[in-house]
Amino acid sequence: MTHISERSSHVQDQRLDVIRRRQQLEIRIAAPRCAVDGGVAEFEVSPSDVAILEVMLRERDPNGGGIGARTALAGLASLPDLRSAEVLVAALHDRDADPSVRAGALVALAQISPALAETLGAELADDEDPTLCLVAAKATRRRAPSETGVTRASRTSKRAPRRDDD
Amino acid sequence: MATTARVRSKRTLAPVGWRDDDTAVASLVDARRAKPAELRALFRDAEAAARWIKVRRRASAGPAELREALGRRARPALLRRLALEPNQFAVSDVRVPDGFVHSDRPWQLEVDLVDPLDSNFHLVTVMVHRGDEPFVVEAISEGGARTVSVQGGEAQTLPIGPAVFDVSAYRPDGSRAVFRRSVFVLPSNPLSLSLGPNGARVTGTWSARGDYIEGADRFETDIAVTIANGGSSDVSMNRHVDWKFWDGGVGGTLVEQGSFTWGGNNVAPGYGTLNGTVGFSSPAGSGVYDRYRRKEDMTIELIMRADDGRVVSDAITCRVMEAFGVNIIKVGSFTPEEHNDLYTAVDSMRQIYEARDITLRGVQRYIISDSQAGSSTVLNSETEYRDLLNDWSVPNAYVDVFVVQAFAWSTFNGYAGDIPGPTSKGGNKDGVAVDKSGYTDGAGKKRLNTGVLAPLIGHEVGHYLGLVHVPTNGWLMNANTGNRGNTISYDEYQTISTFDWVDYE
Repeated sequence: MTHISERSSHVQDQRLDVIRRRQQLEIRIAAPRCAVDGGVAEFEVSPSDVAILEVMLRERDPNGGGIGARTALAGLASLPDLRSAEVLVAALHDRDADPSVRAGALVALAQISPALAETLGAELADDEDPTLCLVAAKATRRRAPSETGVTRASRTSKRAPRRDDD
Repeated sequence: MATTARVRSKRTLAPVGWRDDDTAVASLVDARRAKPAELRALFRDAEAAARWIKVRRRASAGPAELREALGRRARPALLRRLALEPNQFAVSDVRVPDGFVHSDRPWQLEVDLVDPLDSNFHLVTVMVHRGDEPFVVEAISEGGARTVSVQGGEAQTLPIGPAVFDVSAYRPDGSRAVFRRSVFVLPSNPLSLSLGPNGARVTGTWSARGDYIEGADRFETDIAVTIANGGSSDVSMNRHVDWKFWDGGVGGTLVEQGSFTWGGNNVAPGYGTLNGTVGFSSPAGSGVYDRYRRKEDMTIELIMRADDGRVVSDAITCRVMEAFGVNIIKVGSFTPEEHNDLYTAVDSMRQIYEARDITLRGVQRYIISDSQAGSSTVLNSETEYRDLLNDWSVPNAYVDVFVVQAFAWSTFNGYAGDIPGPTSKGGNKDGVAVDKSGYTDGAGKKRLNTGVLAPLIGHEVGHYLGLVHVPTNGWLMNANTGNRGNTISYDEYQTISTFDWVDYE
């Protein structure tokens, strides 16, 4: 978002309330964010926003690049209530959803209900998507298959990655 | 010794779809409205297409019935292309009805929608980027129309040059679909010459860069040249092109001048553009070389003539830039498309910095394989981030940028080891990490969201170079992805300049 010029021309119509709220949420949540400074994001989402956050989470816009879903996940993660958890669980179980959305749903769920995330994460630990599998393993604090063979204790100095000039 | 110039590349471009990061026209087919020929092409099976058409003729046919008509063997690729599910709302194309936009005149876009919900209205919001002050134009469609016309009036006319329309369409339930369409706004007068930094992808204007070529002891300056023809007839350009380097602005002290030949195609097509890249080579002893050595700004002026006698000219500032280097370290597997997207994002990040006269000294490419990375492909805590930095680094004076498969750490997507980062490698603060920002595109391919990733890498590297968060929307150092833009302030530039690894090329 940048400064918007006064040359703008907006439509005024009371049927646009839901759309305008969605636009507000995008600006307020504006997630994900940089971890420098840590802390909690400075936005407020109301329980009445869960419906629109669910719409954002379920969108399958081929040109969207997933940013709407990531914003929705951050909003839902900030609402520790049952309805919010239900939406995240549904996203987690949606096999048509992008794996990054399913992984994000598990991470968001872990912020609302760590116990539930641990239980559901166990179901996903063998998923065919390696990233989702690893996120699930971490959510359940289990050792992921890809961790075997690499032990930090064996390293005494930094390694240099190999060149990737192909 | 004197500066010489030559044309490095040339091509003609349509004025719509002018940039290489435009959204591809969607292959999504409206399940209920597609014509029989479209369906036959999609199904690759006339019988299946006929079966589909028969089912959809029934007014009550819902998604379940239509899905049934596909049969059990429906290909995943087919399902992705056939908009059937309510959440497959998309903008399939954004067209410019006339095929071009004229400067200082009203313009119009036609936005094609695919909406399986048959919503009774849609809102279309167009963010217009031209220069530093974007503006918004909105339109609402009624009666379930699938094409929405958006018009820019007298207050929203555009100057000559590149412009970008970021289109968002909304349904009553709040669903959004997006599309990016770029144009080169043609002169209404009607012939113009525009100079720009070579390969510009980021919106805005900035200086051309004088690159020092160490082995040859010379400076190279590449600029993009666009001859825009806003008239209906082709315009043949004279092949003789004059150039001048000025100290200060045009009309100041002349540093060097010369000419070159615009060989090959020299016709600016009607309602189109003729584009080229011109490179200036300035050896030791030349006036331009000496000015660059003294870190002085100059202005390049180009003068061209049409065969009918019209003269067009433009100028651009050029300067040597301060520079830093980055090691881009892929952590885990990337598909070929993701690899290309990553380096497109890195190039866009370079342009964000070049808009503030800082460039990249170099980009070195590295990879840590899945087996080497272990669980570090996904970071879920500061401890894991520090461990990754503790385990790996590239022993050079470049910033290590680890691009991981995912951040599973709260709602974060990037982190920097310290502000500023260390100027020697070692310990667990000597790098930054970013989420690769992956998603699956309409063709089912894994891609990276370069619009998010470019400023994300730029933001984390900014921390390493000494920058802190700012609350201002539209600035690179805003903490939130959704509010982040490309702006780097002059004060931030001065902060970066003091970092040990930042120096003139």
